[in-house]
Amino acid sequence: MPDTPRSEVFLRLGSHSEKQYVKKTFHLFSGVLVGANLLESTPGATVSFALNVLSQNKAFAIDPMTYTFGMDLDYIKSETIDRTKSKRTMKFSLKRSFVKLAEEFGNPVSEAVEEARAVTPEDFDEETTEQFCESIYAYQAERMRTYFDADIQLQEFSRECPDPSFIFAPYFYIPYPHAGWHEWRDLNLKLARTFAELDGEIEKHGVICIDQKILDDSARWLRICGAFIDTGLPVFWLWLSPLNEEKVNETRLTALAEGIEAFDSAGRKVYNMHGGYLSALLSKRGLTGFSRGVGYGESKDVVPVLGVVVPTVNYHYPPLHIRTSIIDVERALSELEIFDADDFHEKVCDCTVCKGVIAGRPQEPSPVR
Amino acid sequence: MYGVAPGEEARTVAVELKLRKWQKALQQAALYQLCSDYSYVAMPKHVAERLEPKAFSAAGIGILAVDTTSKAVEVVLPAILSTQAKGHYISACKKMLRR
Repeated sequence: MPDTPRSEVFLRLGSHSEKQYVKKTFHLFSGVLVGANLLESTPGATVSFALNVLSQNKAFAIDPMTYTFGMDLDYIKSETIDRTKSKRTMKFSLKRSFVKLAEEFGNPVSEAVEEARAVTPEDFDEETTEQFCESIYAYQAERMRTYFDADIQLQEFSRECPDPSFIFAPYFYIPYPHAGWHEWRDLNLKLARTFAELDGEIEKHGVICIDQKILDDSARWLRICGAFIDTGLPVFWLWLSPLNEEKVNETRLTALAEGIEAFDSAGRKVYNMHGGYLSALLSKRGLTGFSRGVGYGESKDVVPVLGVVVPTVNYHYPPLHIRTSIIDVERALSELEIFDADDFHEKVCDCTVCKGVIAGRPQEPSPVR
Repeated sequence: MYGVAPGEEARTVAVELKLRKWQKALQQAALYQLCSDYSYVAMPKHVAERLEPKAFSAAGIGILAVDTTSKAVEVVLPAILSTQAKGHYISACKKMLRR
């Protein structure tokens, strides 16, 4: 096995409540990514956090999340109180953070949003494509600074507002093998090519966001990788939606590794947008790194879960690098003859967190059932 | 499927029904041992009769064969009283069924 550098790990900040964990574990990570919607919904907190990250010589970047405007807009809507009516009524409308994003991104996104529809590949002619790329670059490069300028207390530090470490090209989901996937692929390639040619000193990264089923056709997948390599962008992020590293089959895994090797051998850096331990292992096949949330986000579907979701509490089992449900863990404990915290720390995990939260004896079966 | 027998002991039984994928059924039935006295996997007769019972008997999980035409159910392998059952799960399930 060749000696390869360690995988770069980026944390994706899903909400500001996760900052406490990020700050405590800064030394473990290469940098932090935030979604543009988080920046729009909490600009002050996000900008100050970005400064914190960058001051520690860690990378910081904003994911423009352009793909959301190419999908059903219901995914980015929420129910809010309609303040235009005197009687208390609810309305289902685009979240404010995405409304702001659409305004910032401009056409064709803003126009499509006004028409209450998603953008389509046909919305992007040559001129619109170039303008859109410029707008996406400017957004990521300048948005934090505009928040400095708008804040009386921060205005004088505006010049010191740092740039993000790199900038993502606009990207949309390629719904392979469903109708229209060729058009979305071609649009993404056009955007990547145009973006690569823009002036600007900040490093530009491309994103390939495609259904994981593409990995069933290795030859086609490799042709797509080759086409993106030819766009001239130096770095790529792969989002094979909704690839789950613990469940991926051998055919898909082989194709994924071949794709990564294609980028690597062409001298391009390549990251997995939503990865975990397998992505760390894939550094041996040329994967530069990956991003993930704090304790979640090792797999992500472009189609969000709608409605109220109770997150599954999972337990991380370090020897196998897997997350398993609490009920599975509970079932395993008596099988493994683990009857108290000492047994647990000795046989399973003695990390600081487990020592902090697992103490005493687990609840025993009641003698009379 | 989950049930509680009438009577003083009020034993509980959980059944995982699956058409295929016996490994997944076995895994789920093993989890049910946390909340039931007896745990079974029920499959169509032609599938159940071809199952290798070793893994099931090692886990104490029973096998039920369901005749999909006549709806008759046959115990291919009886379940063993669960040693994994947790009082806090069982009492909550019984309470729910009695309501």
